[in-house]
Amino acid sequence: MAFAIGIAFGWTLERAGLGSAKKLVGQFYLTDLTVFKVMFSAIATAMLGVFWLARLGLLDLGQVWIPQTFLAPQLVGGLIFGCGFACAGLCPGTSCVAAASGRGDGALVVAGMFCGVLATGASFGALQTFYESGAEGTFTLPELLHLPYGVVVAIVVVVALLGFRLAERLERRAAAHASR
Amino acid sequence: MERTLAAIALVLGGLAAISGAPQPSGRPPGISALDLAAAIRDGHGGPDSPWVMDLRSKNEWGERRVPSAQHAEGPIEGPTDHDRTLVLYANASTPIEATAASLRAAGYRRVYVLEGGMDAWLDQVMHPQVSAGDDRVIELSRYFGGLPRARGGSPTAVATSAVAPARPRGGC
Repeated sequence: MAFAIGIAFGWTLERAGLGSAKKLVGQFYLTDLTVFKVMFSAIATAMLGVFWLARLGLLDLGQVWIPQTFLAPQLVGGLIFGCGFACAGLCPGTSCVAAASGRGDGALVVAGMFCGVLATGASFGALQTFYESGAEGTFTLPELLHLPYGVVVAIVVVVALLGFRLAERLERRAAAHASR
Repeated sequence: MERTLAAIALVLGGLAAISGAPQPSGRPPGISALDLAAAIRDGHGGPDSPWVMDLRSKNEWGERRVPSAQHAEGPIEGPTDHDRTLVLYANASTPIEATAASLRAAGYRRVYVLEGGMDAWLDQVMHPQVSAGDDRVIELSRYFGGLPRARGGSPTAVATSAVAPARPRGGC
């Protein structure tokens, strides 16, 4: 099952054009917001799917693993991830897609990523205290916002649709500016 | 096509807002403070004892806690025996269902939430209001160093700590 999902995920990313660093970097320059649209539509689709499958009794939410929150480490990790994404023009998933598509930049990013993983593993002893700091346990958006689960789902859908409209507007503006 | 998908998403999202929580909600089963107290007493700290996890702050855990409770610090991990009963608790208003769901997803088959949290432990075990005949409640309360109060009587100042002694109390 995991293998099939992995293949489907990689195929979908590649078909969406996310194996191209040029397209991904456009996200940071607000000229091409494909990444935002693909990812946020995936989030909205999955959120609606999980909610309704659970609502219909087809999915036991108790069996769904929720990662724990470690505030400071995850903020720092996100910052490092963002810097690396902007520099490389690829994130871990899309770098694998790019490498599989035969792109040399993808292969180099994958290699760099594994070097980073190895370096972190080798120095984990020194990092462990920080790595486990700021533990907040697991909590979900409904718990954080003190709102019913269904209401949060509706809010996310509305925010996603408004975001898509804004993204289209930004892309049109960038295209008009580039054509001058 | 995009407009159609957006309309479908809006409809499903709107219905989600009014349809109520998913069933089953994934809410873990609860355990009352008295049942937990009985399980801790009967387990004598052995492998049949419930694995109790305190999800409050370390300061709160240091001040008072359910006997045998471990403070959940850093990554929340349960015992190696996935069949052992886990009981989680926090303050009454702290949502811990997600933590319980995460432990269940990690393979722990018996995860419970202490109903009412630490407040319930204090009210029902440490300072319970009892009537004649509530022998089980009185026995459990005294086992953990609690101070039962007569129902309807005046409140009694409690000097007993909520933390039970490390070993069961012996007789006189």
